[in-house]
Amino acid sequence: MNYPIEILPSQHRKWIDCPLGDYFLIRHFELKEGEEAIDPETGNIRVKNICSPKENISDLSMSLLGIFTIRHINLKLTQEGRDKYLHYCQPDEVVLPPSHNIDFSNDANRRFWCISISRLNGKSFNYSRNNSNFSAVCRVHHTPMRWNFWHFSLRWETDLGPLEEMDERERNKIAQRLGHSARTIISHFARVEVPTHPVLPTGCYSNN
Amino acid sequence: MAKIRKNTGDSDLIESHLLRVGSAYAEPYATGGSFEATNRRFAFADQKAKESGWSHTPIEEINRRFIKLDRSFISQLSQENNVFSGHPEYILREKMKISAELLLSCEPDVISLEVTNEGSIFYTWRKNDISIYLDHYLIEEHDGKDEAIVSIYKNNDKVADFAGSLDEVIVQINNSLVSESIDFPAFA
Repeated sequence: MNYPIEILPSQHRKWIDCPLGDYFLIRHFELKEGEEAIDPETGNIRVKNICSPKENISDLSMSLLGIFTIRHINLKLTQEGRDKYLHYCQPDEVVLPPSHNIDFSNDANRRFWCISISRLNGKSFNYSRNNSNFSAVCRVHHTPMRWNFWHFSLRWETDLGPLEEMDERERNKIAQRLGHSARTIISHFARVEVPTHPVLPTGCYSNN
Repeated sequence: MAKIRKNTGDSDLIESHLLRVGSAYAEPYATGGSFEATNRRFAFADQKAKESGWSHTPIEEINRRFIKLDRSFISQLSQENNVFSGHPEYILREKMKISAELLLSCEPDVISLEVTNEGSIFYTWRKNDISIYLDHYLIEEHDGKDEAIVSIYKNNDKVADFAGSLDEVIVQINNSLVSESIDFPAFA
């Protein structure tokens, strides 16, 4: 099986420079036999399928739905593939395609959810307690990786600065609040169905 | 609910995915039927349930729903042993009881809980067009006992977020939902 080269960075590609409010992000999750993807009471995606482990919640990986489709959800990097390809890169980096069974395999147990970028980008959470205030704003960034040009990251800007610069106690407390924010916004807006979605025009991501 | 993309080359994948994840939209794909037909089947099932003669007083209804939440909580606790190791189950259940009873007291249309790998209970609560998402932290409390964080939506618009103790959060929810005639009981 050949790796789908349409999702790789390549010499003619550039940082996506068009507004993305009408577009959708897609993220995979793994569903074991007997597990449910959706809470039957609420119809919402189960929290454990939003992000696990919890350390990923402050920088959640997703892909732009369009050229990257549900056919690419099953691509799973091996450890060797992760070492070679699981790195951020420039959009025009020339990358040799990953090799089947060496760098990647197919995981048929993977499922997905989708969410509109407009539901995430710029949305803020403001928590106050006594005289202590804290706010976080959700930002969607194009962050190409060597295995996936369409890789995006969901990150949080806080009024207290970057998480990694906080002392451990403060970092844990803020991470807890970011975890709640991510769970809430994704639980409310994400769906396991493929939405009607546009495909990004070539001029938005290619110099050709 | 988002519109479903239909008639694409991916329809086989979409169908198998929707069936596996238990989406309500799976059946139209599987049978070639319509969404309207699925909705009619759901409405028929609801009607049959109503005709079956079950009725509860409000207290019985709250108890029935609490038992369901309690069973769900215990079942999920056993799957998150690594997160709650060293924390006696009876204490965790007592904490759950406080938040669950509070949230049930307003007779929500929908309520559900999920134990998270951050050591919290994540409640989803819905009544009319109001959705409340409340994390009640059972361990790793950074700001004191019974720490909670809540976000409130009206349809798809955010109304408010709060962090604090469970009782502080409930007071804030009440303040935010005065106009919605939703009022949780205050702590004694």
